[in-house]
Amino acid sequence: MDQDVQQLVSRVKAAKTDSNAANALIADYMPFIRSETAKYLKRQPEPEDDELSIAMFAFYEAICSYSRLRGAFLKYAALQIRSRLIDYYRREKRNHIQISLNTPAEDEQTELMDTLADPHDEYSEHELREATQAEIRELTEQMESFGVSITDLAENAPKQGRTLEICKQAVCYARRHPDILDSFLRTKRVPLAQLAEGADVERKSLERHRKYLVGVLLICTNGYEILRGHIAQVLKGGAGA
Amino acid sequence: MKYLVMECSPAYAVLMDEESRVVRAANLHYTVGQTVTDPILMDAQTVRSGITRKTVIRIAAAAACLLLLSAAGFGFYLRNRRPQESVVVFVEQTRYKMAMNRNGEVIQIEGEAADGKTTVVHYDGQHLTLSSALNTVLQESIEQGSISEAEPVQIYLAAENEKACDSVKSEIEQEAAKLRLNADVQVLPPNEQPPARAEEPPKQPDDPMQKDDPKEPPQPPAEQQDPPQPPTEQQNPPQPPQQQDPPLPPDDPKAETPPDPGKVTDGPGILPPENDEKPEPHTELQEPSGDDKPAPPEPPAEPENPPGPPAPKSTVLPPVGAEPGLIGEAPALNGSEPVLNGESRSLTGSEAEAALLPEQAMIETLPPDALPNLPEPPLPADGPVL
Repeated sequence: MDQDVQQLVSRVKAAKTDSNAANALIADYMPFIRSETAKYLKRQPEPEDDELSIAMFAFYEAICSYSRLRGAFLKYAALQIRSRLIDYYRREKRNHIQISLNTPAEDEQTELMDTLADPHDEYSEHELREATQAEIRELTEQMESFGVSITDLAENAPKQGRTLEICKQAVCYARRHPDILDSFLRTKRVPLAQLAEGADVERKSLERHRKYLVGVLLICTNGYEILRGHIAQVLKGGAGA
Repeated sequence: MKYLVMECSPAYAVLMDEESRVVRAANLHYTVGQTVTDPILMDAQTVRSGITRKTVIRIAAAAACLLLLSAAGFGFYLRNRRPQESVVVFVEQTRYKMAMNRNGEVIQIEGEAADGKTTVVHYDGQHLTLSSALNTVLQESIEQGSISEAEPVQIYLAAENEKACDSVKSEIEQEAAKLRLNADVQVLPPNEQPPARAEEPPKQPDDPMQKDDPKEPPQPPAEQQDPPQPPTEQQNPPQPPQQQDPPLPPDDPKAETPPDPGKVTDGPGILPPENDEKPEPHTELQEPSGDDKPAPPEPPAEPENPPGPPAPKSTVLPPVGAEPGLIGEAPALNGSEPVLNGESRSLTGSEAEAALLPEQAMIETLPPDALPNLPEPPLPADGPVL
């Protein structure tokens, strides 16, 4: 029994830094996640239920925030799952006044969705999504050559607005000076000194978010028009620009 | 805010918003490249690792509480437990030391008997006032018969504050007056500690004139410790000069008048008193004198001594503190300077060598006329009774 607990704690510790280990741990404990979701739903969750996805996300949060001071991991994870599901329920309750598109129409033979005009072009949306996926795939591969993954971007991205503004200034300065981007692609090194000096920001702040800068600077280079369009507000000079 | 799905995993999805923030959110069946508007984001506290703000606040609160408790405890100690003044009461040979705090409460009583080990008073630390504590000690002593109303009780008072000292002194005197005791309260200077033992009153001499004065104040301890003049008189009872010159004929006056260099070290004390004046009132001098007359000189043991010069042991008096076996050695003379006419002088090398020689050799080398007639040293006004 103690060995199982020790093994679980060691797996949780490894999953904090390794996303593959986290996915493996989540897959192993899916019965536990399902049972906790069932306690809340009062029924067995289906794979399509958002509650099950939220329960899995809560389990992942429990992995990231667990420490021995918090007691047994499974009890802590159960508490996290229950809290997340309660939050989700409250959030959905706020939007309860909205009417589903599947609601029967007045003649009760057709659904409400059938009576509404569809402004979206499903075909063009599908093409855009595929092009976006291709850009993201290419960006991921290019980032791997720099030793950075998408998950690293999430972990290394600035959280505070002031830090985010500093990074924006550095990216805008690099975009105005193509030689810096060329040097970045050629040497596969972020020119922190030039960016700090040119953008008049602290180099230490840029060093803390070096992986994030790698991803954003790559997006600024040619070939990622969709992604550049998504963060066009940033590339124009920030929200305040 | 629109979010672009960058990566999907079973438990979460990585999204990038329009401000280029990259965040993790719940994967509500998203696909890569999809644009979502209202995701369930991961808490910022969950992502943050290491020492959280909550932990810092807890540690700071605990440290503040600890500091507060320490300050309160130190203040309590200063106010109630730190001895500020002390009163020492001597009853016979028992020393009672009372330590008082800032509030004037007795926090400790130490009773120490003459042997220095026995604890006489057991005090459990209850905060008695000085009056009640002093009353308890003196009352117990009166009941035990250690003190009487006639005997003075020595009380020493040591305090940091002068005002407090005066108030405590008056309080002690009032308490002693209540018990009809003759209390002698002495205030010690700030840096002086109370004495460890009660000052012994000097023994009254056998002189009836001095016995009639019972209220004579006790001599200060410094006078008791000073050795009386000359120092050799205390430990060596005076011997008649006839003992030192047995070979000389008694009719020869010059044999007695010239002082022997070896005798000079003993000063005038070795000379017999020529009058009946009383010696200095010293207790130790009175003890060996059982008879008024000195013991008759014993004749030298001639059959035992081998023929030749007499042994120097019988002629040279040992200096003070010298062992009998070391008589005649130079270091023994260095310890005591000879006293001549009340003035001390150092012996030169030749004189010291001459002092080591036997007395017969000195008499032979010096003609009787060459011996200087030294004036007799003045005798003390109250000489010892031999």
